[in-house]
Amino acid sequence: MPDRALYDLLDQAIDALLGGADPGVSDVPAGVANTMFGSVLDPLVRIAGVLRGMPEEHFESRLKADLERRTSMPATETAATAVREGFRTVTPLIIVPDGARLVEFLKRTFGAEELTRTPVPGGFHAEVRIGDSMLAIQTGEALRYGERRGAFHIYVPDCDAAFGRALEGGATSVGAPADQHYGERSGWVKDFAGNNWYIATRLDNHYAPPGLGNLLLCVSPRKARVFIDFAKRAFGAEEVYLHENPEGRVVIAGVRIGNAVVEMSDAHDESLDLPSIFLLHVEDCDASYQRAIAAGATGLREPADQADGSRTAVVEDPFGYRWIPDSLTGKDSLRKNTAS
Amino acid sequence: MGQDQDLSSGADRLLVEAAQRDPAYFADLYEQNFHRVYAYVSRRVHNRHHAEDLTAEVFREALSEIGKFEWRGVPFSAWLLRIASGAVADHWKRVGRESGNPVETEKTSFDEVERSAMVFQLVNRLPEAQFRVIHMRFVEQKSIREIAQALDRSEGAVKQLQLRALENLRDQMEGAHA
Repeated sequence: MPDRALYDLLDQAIDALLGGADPGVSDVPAGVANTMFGSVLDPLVRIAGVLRGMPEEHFESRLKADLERRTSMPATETAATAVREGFRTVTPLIIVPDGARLVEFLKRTFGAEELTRTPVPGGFHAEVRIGDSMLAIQTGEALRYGERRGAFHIYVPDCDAAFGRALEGGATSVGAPADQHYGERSGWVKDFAGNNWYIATRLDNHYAPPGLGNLLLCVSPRKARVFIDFAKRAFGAEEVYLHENPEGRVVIAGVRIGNAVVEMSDAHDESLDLPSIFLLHVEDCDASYQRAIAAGATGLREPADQADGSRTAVVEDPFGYRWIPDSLTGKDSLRKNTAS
Repeated sequence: MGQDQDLSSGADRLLVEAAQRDPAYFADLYEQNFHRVYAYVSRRVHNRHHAEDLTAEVFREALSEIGKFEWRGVPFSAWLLRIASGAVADHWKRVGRESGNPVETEKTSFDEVERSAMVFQLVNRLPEAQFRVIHMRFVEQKSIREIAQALDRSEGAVKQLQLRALENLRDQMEGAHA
């Protein structure tokens, strides 16, 4: 059957093309060219030669999304200059009794690197780096004000492997890894301390989405739109994406604060809404504190200079999340480059 | 034809000026030129990951530098390809430094770039089954057997789809040039 002979010969030529060491060659192999189909196959094989270089399916749209994010970023890029080296504008702080075990869990599960561990009364304050993002963990006297946990959307090179390590480290599976319709493979665990980890790997060439960082902070306020409005007024947040279902529930949204992204959805289950606390690296702690209060936050601690050269305050937003505006007061700040 | 070129050039200029005033319009320039820039880069680096990284670099630089673009009658695409040419040259310098050997970069003609860009554009318009086979074969580098298993089709059916896809592309290319 001629058609069958044709597609067999074409595939033979494509096999030779794909296996060829010289990517410039896209001619019909001699064995194929000498057949009765040689002249028919020639233009097809030349097109096949071009197709060897075709871009990955979603590359064009991914790059477009990255460029669109950049077009709305100039103001926030400037704000990021206040951030300590190696940190993002918003850094999550976890306050739990067994901080040492949590640090070990992060090291083993996500390859976290412990950069500092500073003694504080009754415990320590540690800073770990996971990929391109930082996370702070504290134990000791801060527990007087209650435990603080977080939820994270973490991008790793191999979701299944990290998920397995998390379970070995004592985490509980909430959802096994599965390919998701939005282009990632992800699973969900709760660690021994009660933090939620959505462990994900993008199903394309880059395991993490470009421009967002590999650790997104997640919150589950009752009304994500109200939270976004508050974050815009309090912290100068910018909405990056927002998707609602037909009933008007926010399924997923992301806001950029400086160079960090906070992800959220309307909480459909109150147990998902964890009492989180965030370090907010700002130019001016006092101005940031006042702006948050004006937007509806409650002041828990007024701005004050700290022994390490920083100036910090604490506010609680209307959703129960706490924020620590933190500015470097001078060039001699002891903490300025501790993470570098 | 001359009038068409004037119109096209005028529209190009308006779009560039709009993007200079408001970067949000850069998306239109990106869509018009994505395949051309990618084709140019991929023809010169022969590695998909490098081609994607360099293409991203070109558009990011173009976005940040668009304010400096001055309209002198040269198409915006030529400005993009000049940025791409610099990015490719830097890439090969890096490769040369790392390998310890200078690397000769080959030239590519404008016609070859346009032809590749057209193929990349047309492939996105193929019927889904044909596109899937082409993507799995050429991007994911799967064998016919692997594709047949993944799509739950016979190997003959996959080869048939591959043939139809390439014939489709050939016909559309010929139609575009007619």
